[in-house]
Amino acid sequence: MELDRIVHEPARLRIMMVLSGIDEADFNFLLTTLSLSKGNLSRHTEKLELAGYVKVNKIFKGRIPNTTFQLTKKGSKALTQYWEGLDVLRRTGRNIASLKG
Amino acid sequence: MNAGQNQKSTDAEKLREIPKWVRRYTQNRTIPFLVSMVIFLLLFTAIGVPSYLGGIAYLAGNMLAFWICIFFLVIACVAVFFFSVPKRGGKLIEKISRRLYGDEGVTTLPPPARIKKHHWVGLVVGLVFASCVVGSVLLGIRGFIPIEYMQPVSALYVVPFLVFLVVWQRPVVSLLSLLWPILYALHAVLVVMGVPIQFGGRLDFLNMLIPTAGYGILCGLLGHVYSRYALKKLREAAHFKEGAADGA
Repeated sequence: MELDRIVHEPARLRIMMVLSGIDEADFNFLLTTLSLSKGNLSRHTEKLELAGYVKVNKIFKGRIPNTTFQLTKKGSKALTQYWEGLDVLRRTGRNIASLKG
Repeated sequence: MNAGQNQKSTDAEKLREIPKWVRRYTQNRTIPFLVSMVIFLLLFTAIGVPSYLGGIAYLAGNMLAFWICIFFLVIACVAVFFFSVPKRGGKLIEKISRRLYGDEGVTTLPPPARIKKHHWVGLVVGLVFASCVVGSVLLGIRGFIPIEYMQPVSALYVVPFLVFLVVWQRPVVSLLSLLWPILYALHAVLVVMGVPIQFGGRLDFLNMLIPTAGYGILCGLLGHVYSRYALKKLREAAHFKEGAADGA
């Protein structure tokens, strides 16, 4: 069993978990909630967008640019599969440990 | 299980709580509601005060003071017209709310599909509610409803209407909003039981204003406080130390 490397990265996993609870979050919200630097957040969201896990909407509120993020259906499915995979790995690890013990 | 595995397991459990806390935080972002209630109260005051003082000035024969009051009343009416257009009023509320939330950012929940699908339900309920308001005011003016029982009578339609609004908009709004109709109903029961919680004389208007706007603002403030708690829990669960090792 192999975990999705895109999702497994801690910052990206957190971004996807935040987006899974709501419809949409903007750049500032993710920045302050996850305590990431602007550069890192941009890099991770770009990777998620390339994988098709996150939809990025860039709009202008007056003169101020506003970027919002949404988890796609593909992203939601990948996240569910990731947690299922992790549970399987943890159960297997526990079974091996109990056999050794 | 060793200490490292225990730590990873706890981290994973914390991460699984992120969607719950971000949803609760978003449901309780009540600043736009509080801003609109404050604007409503300001407009109410802007219309009420010049009307009241204008009446006194007219009866006293002070026409200069009367026309000054009329001037302010016209300005207040223009302001009401301005804010009742959702495009303008909504934009202002959004602008103020954004400033108040500062760097916190914005999150939204999707409106339930039933609102779009059965748009007419909201319109019908709104129409029935408006008819009840107009009907009870007319009955009150004609003397069929004693002034001290206006609030308990209004509770007969305000409480179901507020409950409907909360249920209809779930999960966009928090269940905490149900406190508003509960307090409104409780207030009505206390009035009927004869508990002295009503204002008299010139403060009569507060008998309706406090249960409607006052309890609404109280619920909004409680929601805001809860959103702070949810945000704290969310940040605890989602906090990420940059440069930390891979793995959940």
